[in-house]
Amino acid sequence: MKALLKLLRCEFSKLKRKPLFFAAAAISALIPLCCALFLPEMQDFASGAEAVDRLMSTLFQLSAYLLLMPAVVVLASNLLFEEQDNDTLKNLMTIPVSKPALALAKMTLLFLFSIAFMAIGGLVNLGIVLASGLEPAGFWRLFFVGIGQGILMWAGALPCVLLVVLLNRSYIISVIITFFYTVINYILGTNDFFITQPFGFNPGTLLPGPLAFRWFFQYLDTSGAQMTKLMERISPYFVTTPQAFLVVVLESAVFLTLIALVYKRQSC
Amino acid sequence: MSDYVIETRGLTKQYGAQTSVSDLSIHVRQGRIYGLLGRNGAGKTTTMRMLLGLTDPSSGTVSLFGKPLRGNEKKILPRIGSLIESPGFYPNLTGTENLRIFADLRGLKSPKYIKSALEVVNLPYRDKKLFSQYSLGMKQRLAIALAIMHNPELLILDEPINGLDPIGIAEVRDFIRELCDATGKTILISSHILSEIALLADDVGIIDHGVLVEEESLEELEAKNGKYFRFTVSNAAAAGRLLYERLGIHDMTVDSANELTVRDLHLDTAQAISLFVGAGLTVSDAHLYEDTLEDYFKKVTGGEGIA
Repeated sequence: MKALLKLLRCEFSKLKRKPLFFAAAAISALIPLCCALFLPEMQDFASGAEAVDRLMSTLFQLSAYLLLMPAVVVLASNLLFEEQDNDTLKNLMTIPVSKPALALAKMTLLFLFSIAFMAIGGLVNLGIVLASGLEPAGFWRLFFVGIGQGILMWAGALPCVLLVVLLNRSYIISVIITFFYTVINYILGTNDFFITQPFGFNPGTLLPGPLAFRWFFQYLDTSGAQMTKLMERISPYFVTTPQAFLVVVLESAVFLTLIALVYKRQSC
Repeated sequence: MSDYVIETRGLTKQYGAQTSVSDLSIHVRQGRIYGLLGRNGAGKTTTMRMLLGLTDPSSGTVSLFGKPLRGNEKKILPRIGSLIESPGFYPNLTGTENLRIFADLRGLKSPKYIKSALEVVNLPYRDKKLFSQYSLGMKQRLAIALAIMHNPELLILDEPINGLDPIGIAEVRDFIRELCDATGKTILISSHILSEIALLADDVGIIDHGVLVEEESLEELEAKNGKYFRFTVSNAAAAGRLLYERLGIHDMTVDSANELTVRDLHLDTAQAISLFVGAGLTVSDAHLYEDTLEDYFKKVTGGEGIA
């Protein structure tokens, strides 16, 4: 554990003057700001609670799916290949640092990045609500749901990271895979077939998109005739927080082990 | 316990059908500089990578400090400093920042380790220049600083003078010599530059096509270098007969009608020349020849010379 923390500290040191990482964190503010500036329905709220709900739902449904997940995969490929690209792996191996521990440190960094991404997005939303002169009622609850979704998205990105590590070194292929993975994940996350499956060993539970949707959606405001109908249909399939995070823990354990094993095979 | 800091037995590395290192058994004694000499592609780097556990051998064993490397990496590797192939560092960081990362991982908390390592290689501490802006020589110096930063007992340096200017080469050479003499460190250094090995090493291993063709101390190797007299005379056979009959010289060959090579170094050349002249022979040339290490290298590798 101590060794992992040491490696994690070093991973942070390596980020110095690396614009890609900070740009990726900064884009978490992009969708909330664009919505607030350009969408009329995001400028006219009846109450602070409504403003918080609408803004946070864009964070959950757009930023997390369309920005965070691809950002995690692209940054993962950058972090995992940087040692080979810079020829530093041999220096690390002769200390010695184990490759699986190094891979885990990098994945932990991405875990923290995912939390930071959602936290920044949430805080930007808070700023927008406050700037509108509204009371941010119920914000902190959704803020922590956002953090939870960040963790779900991180775990959901791990299969794609594994694929990228397996294919080793091709950034173009990594980006293409990431694009398709993001789109499929987004589509499946809103598809009735996947979000109306009971908790169990099925695609609706195992795939990150539907699982995240079935967890976070219950925390959003579902009043209104249209929403009531939708809720009637999907609410029996919502997953509890322990259920959602049990799946995340198990899937992360499997995919982190596989990533570590594949990274171990990489030559230095 | 073994007397050797590094000992390999039958070390072999195969990449598919190609054998990069074959049945290599080297012996590096404590407190000595061992020069691994060979042409580019002879298998020096592969050997060093296997010594550090960076490449798994196809067969054979590596023992460091009397213990097998396999299974003892955590105990053995921290006692070694290494520089393998080109210097590898993070381009977005300065030299000091780069060293700090590796110092952290080695558990070296005090900045004095970084400071003194940089001082030794003449690089500034806390300089703002990024590694990506370094010249090749500066990169090589930083790699040497990384290798010595944790004060290792054994240094494994693969072509450490690559990219250095002549003054830098002399500095690194002096520094390596001093490390060995003053602190008793054991150093394994590889090079394709014969003169460097000749100037620096105590023991030499010559590797060719992955095979260790010679392993000896530099003195022994130099003693093996042939010295001989060569005479160009009007009749080499008659001259040879005279030396044999009158001076008792046996070790000689008649190379051609006019050329005679004498390997017996007890020969008094002035006496030999007056003997030839007295017998009516014409002497047009008399020379003492000495083979260089390069000649020896050519002989044992059966090929062309080396830089």
